[in-house]
Amino acid sequence: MPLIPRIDQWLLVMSTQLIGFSMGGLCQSFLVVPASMIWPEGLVYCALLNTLHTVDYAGAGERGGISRKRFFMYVLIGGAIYYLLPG
Amino acid sequence: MTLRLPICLSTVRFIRISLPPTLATFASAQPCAIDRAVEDVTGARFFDPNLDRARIGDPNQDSPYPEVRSAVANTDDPEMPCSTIRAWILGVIMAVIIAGINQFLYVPFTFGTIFIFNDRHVNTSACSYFRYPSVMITQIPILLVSLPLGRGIASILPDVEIFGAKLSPGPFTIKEHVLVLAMTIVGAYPAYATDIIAVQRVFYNQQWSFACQCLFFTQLSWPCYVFSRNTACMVQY
Repeated sequence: MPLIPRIDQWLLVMSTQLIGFSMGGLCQSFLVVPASMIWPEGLVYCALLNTLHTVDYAGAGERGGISRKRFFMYVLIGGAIYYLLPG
Repeated sequence: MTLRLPICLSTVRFIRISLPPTLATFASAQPCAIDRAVEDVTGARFFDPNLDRARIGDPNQDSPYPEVRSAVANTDDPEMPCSTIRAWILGVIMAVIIAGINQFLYVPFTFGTIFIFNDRHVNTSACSYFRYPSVMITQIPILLVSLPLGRGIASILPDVEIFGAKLSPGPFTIKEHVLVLAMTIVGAYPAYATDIIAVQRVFYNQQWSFACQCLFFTQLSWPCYVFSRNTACMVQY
């Protein structure tokens, strides 16, 4: 027989999990549904996929600049060279 | 308004550099009245492909700030090809290869090596989680590798129809890329049941037969699929 009864262990696990689920359900209209809300794990992939596929412009208005793909390539090459250093 | 093609990738010959047709229609179709709204906020007038022109001004649906919009588009192009034959071919091949590489790296020692643990000779082919740091192909490298592969397969495949579906409908799109990613990442990580087999083999000197191990892996996986399908209406959609 465990120190804490089985049913209490099961209820503890289920209640903590379900509190999280229900908080997510309550906040769904503020945190999930609006298109402005991007969750941090997905934001990385969204930004990278947009950089690689959709966003092809460079600069803003009359101001020039480099495109996001070119900036990404610079950072990629620089990161690859930096990774050769012993860390 | 200028559209500048990516110059950094143009040195690679097999990558098809062309503007998607959706961008061209976006650029030519709309008047400047809505871009003036962007100009009021940002102080600059420029072409923004992620701008949801039907819902500008609604902060729940579209942000006026290009920094926010530049992360993700909340517009949809329903004519963009998504579930194409080439995406499925590439996704299946990459799922097999990446899952095989990750499972191989999860068990890093050479098969058949013998070492002494706890006064017993054990086979080290199962001592997987003693290795630190571990090597694994994660999601961002998969994303970066699948892009030139997709563009390459899009330029190699001929323009024919198979069963009424085009084999190569235009350039490699973002939806196909996401489909390939989803198919690859789902199978990319090794099953945790490998640890059980490893612990049995190293610490308890037990070894099941191959068929028994296969059945063990599947009987651990399929209830999870069943539960996720049964609760899909509550926790997914």
